[in-house]
Amino acid sequence: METQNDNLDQDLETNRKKLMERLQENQDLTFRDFRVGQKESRGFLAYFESLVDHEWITVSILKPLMLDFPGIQSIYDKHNFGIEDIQKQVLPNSRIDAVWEWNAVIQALLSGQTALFLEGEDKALILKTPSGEYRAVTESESEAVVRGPREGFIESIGVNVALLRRKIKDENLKLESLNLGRKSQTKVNIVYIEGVANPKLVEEVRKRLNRIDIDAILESGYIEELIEDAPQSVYPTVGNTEKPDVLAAKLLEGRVGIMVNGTPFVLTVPFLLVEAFQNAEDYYARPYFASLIRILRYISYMITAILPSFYVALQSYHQEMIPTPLLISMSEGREGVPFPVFVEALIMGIIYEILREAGVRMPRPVGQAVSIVGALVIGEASVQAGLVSQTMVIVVALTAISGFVVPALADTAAILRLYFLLPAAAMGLFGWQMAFIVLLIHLASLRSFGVPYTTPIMPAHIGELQDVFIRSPLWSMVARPALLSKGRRQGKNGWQLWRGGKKGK
Amino acid sequence: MRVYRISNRQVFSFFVVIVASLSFGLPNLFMRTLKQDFWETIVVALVVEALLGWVLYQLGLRYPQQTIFQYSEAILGKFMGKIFSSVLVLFFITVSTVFLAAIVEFFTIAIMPETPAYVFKILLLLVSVYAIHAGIESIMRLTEIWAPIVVASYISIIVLNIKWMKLDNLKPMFQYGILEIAQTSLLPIAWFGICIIMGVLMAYHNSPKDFLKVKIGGLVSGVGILTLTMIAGIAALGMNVILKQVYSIYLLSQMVSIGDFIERMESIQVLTWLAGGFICISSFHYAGCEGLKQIFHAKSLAIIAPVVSIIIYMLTVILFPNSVTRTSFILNGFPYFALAVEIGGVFFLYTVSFIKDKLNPKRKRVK
Repeated sequence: METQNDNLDQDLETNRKKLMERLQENQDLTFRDFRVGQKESRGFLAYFESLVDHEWITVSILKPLMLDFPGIQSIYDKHNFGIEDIQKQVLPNSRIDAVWEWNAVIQALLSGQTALFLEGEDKALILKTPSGEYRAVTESESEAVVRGPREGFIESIGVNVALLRRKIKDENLKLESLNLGRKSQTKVNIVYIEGVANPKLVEEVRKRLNRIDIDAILESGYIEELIEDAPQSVYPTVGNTEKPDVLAAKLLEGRVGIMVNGTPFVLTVPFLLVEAFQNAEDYYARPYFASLIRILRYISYMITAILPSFYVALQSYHQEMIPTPLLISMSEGREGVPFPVFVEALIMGIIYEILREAGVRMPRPVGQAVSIVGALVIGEASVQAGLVSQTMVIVVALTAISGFVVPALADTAAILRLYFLLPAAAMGLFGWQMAFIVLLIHLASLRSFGVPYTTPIMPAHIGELQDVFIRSPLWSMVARPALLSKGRRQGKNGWQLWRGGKKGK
Repeated sequence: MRVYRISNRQVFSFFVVIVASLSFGLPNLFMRTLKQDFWETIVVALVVEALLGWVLYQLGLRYPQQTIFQYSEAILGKFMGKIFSSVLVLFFITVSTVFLAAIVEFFTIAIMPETPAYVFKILLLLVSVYAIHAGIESIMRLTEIWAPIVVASYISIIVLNIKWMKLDNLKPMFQYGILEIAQTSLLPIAWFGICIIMGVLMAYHNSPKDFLKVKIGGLVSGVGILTLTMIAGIAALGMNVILKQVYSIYLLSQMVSIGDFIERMESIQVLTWLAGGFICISSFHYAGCEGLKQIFHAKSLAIIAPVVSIIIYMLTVILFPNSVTRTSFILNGFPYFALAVEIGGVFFLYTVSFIKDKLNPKRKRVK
């Protein structure tokens, strides 16, 4: 339908006709007529029945208009009171906007607001009346922590903003709003801290978001794909989080957040590779244990991405590298297995992916069946039947478990496993190493919103490595990441604080 | 947003890696004539290389953010500049070819004898083309992350072989005169001279003023590690065994054994050297392409890089049909060509630039 953006008319019936014309075939569009004032001026409310809170309309709009109005003598007796008087003196709503254009009226109605029209007025009042049917703030399932705030974002952008504002009570926390999606008109907020985030970065985010021209934004994933630097890469260059504390921490480092209405996942840019290995809890736990876990995460990712291919290369080409006693027991296990080790690894890898996908998609009650099939049939029976070697089952199991340690890169690990497997099977460690070099070059060439993706590992920023492979104590992390923000995150030199504390000052 | 260029650390790492990667078949050639005194030639080569570095550094400062291909046209004029650049391109392509041949030969002889050589060559060149497509910054970042691994690999070889070392094997020393040392130095001078690739890299460096000291630092570190490993090899295996080996450092790495359980770890060492060798191939491949881009005023390297990779492949087939011809080329052919380009070419360029500046002082230092 062609969208005309003309202005409202002074005649009430013309306005009603126009509204019905624009929103025809919408059964839930409701008109509620009323008369106000001593002269009984005519007016009506328009709203979508399915989107509004009826009680709210009755209590905060109709009651003041129809019952309380006569009490306000100063304007009730006026012959020509206008919509402005109603806005300023009659309605107690916290937010009322006056609009003159049809597009604004339609947009407001579609997002659950109510429009008030009055005879003789060429403008309408937009009143906030959305129904509050949203999921409660619950614990995030994708980023669970043992110690740390439990709350996670929800589908309502308003609630999400509130959750963030409760974390950062700073006047410089800025929030820009825009609507994206030609049909969905999804509300999107750009959040950043002025003075911490690089203004060029904010401008770049604004520019990329404004470039989006698509029918609908149904989840932040749509935006992620449309604004990322390297859509051809398997690595994500836009981050996401479900936790307000994580978003707050990222904003405080100079990143920009993109909140999307209708999803609990808030995007953060720029997203660097090392962020995938960081977890909110690292910063709430003591640094030694957090560092140990951080290192384990890197090792786990290496295991999940390369262990099967490394095993295939060693078994097929470089048996001399395996210590002799180990080689003997591995060879015994492989005796009678009809497949070459590459085929064995490939089949087991595919079976694991099928089990994983089934585990995610299946209805909860049938979960046990899948577990039994997975554990008994694939694991035990196939080894006993001599189809798969025990070592291969161990390799695949270790690969699978390690994959869950770094959830942000779990999907890339699945692709990398296959990617490494082929050259390793064809050319042993030579092929494997060449594949690894290609991966490193690819990672080195990636950027996320202008920042090299592998910073601070390559190009190396030695000072910033204190939050990469280990998590240094908070007092030693004085500066913010240099490529994101120039400032310092601690007022006093942390070292002095620490030494002061030691001396008992 | 900050525009990223090559950093000091990347330049340092690069020179460490390319010098350390000469371990593919070169060490025994260095030791062949002077035996235990070989390190003296390396010292001489380092001094010459530092001087060469100074000359290129001066040229680089005089023509900031220009590669040697660009300023050679500014110094020698368009026509002569293009001829000079062509010779340089040929030199870089030759170095890349020799590295490719040496690595592939090593793999076909020592690691995977049943796999045909062309498979290794094609794979290495394909990845090299991809690296060039990703840009010099990416190659340099790879270098930065890989240099510590290469250094660690050499140090582990030295440390884990201490138990085999006999210092008596390092005797006799100081047996040769200055003339013999100078003559024998030509080979290391020619090989360390491949560092004239700095004429290309300096244009992309984020602080060109530091380039010389960083380069010399990297070069000395790389050469130091290589020489130490060679000395460790002599101490552990004895001169006679070393001279009969083509890959003496590889032999040394095969002797590593930790607790009678972790043995034969040379494959891991080889992997680190392979990445180092790849960095050499791709960086010289890149330098050659960059030169051709300048000569033909091409807009990108998209077509040039694959074409040059085909040329490199053909050259390895034509020039090095077997190990003997490669060794003979490294010993008898390459040094003359290399010295002519490295010493002759670069000093000639500097002299012309110097004279031009004297005649026309206004041109001096376009900073």
